[in-house]
Amino acid sequence: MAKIITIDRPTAEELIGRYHKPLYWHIRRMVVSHEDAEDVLQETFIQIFEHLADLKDVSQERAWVYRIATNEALQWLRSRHEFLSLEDEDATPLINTLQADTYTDTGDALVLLFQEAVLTLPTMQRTVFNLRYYDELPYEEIAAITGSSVGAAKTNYHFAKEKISKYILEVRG
Amino acid sequence: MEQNIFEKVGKKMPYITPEGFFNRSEKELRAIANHKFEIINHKLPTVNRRWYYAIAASIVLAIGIFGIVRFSSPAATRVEASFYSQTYDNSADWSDFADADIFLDNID
Repeated sequence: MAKIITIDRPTAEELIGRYHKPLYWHIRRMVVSHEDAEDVLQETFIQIFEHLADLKDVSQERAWVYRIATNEALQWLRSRHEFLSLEDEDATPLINTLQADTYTDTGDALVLLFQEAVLTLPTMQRTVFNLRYYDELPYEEIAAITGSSVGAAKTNYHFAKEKISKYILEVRG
Repeated sequence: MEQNIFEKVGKKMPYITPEGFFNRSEKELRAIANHKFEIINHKLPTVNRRWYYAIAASIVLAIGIFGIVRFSSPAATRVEASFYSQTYDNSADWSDFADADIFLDNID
């Protein structure tokens, strides 16, 4: 029996129009590879469509979709046995993917080095940093997305910036 | 130094996408959404489906009861049998008038 998904067309259209690009870039920053990001993005929207009825507070829509995207990206990373939890710190595989991926622009050395520095962060810090720095989300939403507190999100962001600066200084001398 | 790095890089990233990716991806997502939406249009919600089944069952039951009453009643059968016999088996009625002369002789 085909599964019934209680969503009407305008809502799906609005969600796609509103979050298609932001979620792609958020996922891409987590999984690095374009092809992987494309797959995870589709799975993310399928989950969004299927569970939209579970969203009780529409004011939390953005945090809710970002949380789904984050969970899907983490699930994909775990399936490749490269990350076990948000606290895992081994970013070597992701850095290798960044350098080898077809859709990586290596023209700007500082931009590339900056992204490598971001990838060296523990997964939780990297997630918080990306959401704050690139997506400019408020700490309250970041806390809801990552399942942490506002204070923890602020602390993670602060230490993330310090580590990035330190990494770049060490590499560039 | 920390502030200079973030100012220099800004929001730039080394990630790029294939040409036309976002248009194609958006169309695929809309196709997925349309497919999910068609599933809803072709299936009745569970609650309404029960009502339709109940109404259909009631109609069938009513027709069945009507049919049983209409065609299985003994009185109805005798009446119909009598009616049909009167209509098509009237030879006994006309037997008294088979001979027209006798009929006319009996008239005062």
